[in-house]
Amino acid sequence: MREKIADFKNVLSPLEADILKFLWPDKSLRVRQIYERLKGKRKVALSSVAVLLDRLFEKGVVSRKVETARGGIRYVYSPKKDREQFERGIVETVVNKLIQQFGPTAASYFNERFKKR
Amino acid sequence: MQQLLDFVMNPWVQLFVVVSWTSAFATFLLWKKNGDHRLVYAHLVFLLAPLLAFAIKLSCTMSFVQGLLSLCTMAVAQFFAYLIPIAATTTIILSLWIIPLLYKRHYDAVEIKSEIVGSKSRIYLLDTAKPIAFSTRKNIFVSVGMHELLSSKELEAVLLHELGHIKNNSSAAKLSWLLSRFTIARFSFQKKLEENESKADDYAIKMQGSERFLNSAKRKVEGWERYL
Repeated sequence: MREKIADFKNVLSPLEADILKFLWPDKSLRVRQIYERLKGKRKVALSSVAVLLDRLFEKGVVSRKVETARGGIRYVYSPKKDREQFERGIVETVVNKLIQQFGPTAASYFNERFKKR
Repeated sequence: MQQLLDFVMNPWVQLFVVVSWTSAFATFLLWKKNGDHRLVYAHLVFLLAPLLAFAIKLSCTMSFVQGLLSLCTMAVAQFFAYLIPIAATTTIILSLWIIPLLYKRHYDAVEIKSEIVGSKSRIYLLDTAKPIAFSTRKNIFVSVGMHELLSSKELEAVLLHELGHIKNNSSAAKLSWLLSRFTIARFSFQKKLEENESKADDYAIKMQGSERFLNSAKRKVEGWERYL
């Protein structure tokens, strides 16, 4: 049940959701590491993984820092929030937006909805 | 009005105007034919020569009584007289100092070391995941994204391409062409830039002895753009 609720289909693209699922347990990963793991599951290119991570960074979902090592220069990405916090953030923004736009209508619907359960 | 008439009727002035405009036209044709960007400045000089002469003459004949008007004319004359040096100095300052500084500020660039590029030019790392690389007069800028996507051989090809730009002095040519776009002509700009790109490519291929790495690097960067 929990998996089903949290596949983030409306918030993230399927690939972005997959990337986040790798990032949450491991805390910090490189683009190439994520690409290696995704390769088995889906048909992706290294550059598209990099694009997606950049997009996530611009959205503020992940943070990154430059790492200079023997293998060259690259980014190490890590999630800004853990899974709980991320889900909570989504719910907060959606509910707040509904209340902001529809006010009483949204509130009365929430009441009805919770009575049913 | 009378001054303008006097000025134009003077046979020496007429000769001067004819000579300078003919030279401007000749420079223009030459420039169009062999595409040397430095001719842009010569063209500007010849084109503005009659105007300049008139402005100087006007300011000299103005009497002191005319006050503000003569001051204004002096300023105009000085502006025209110094126009070419001003343009040249601005170009040099822009290309050597201001444009690299703006790029460094914008991308939080950090200097890095590389064996491929000699001691003559410096490499700066741009803090962005987009695979971009460009060069100003002596500096090469390469993004983290470029390092991430490309293998070391491909990266070498990219750096050599940028070095080729520095060898050909492409950035100065680009600036001159930009200047000419605002002032005189609007054609052959695109063609010249493409020509510079292919020259830089040739340099990279020559130094590496194979075009394999350059082509695969280009494909990877295109892959990124396609995904956006």
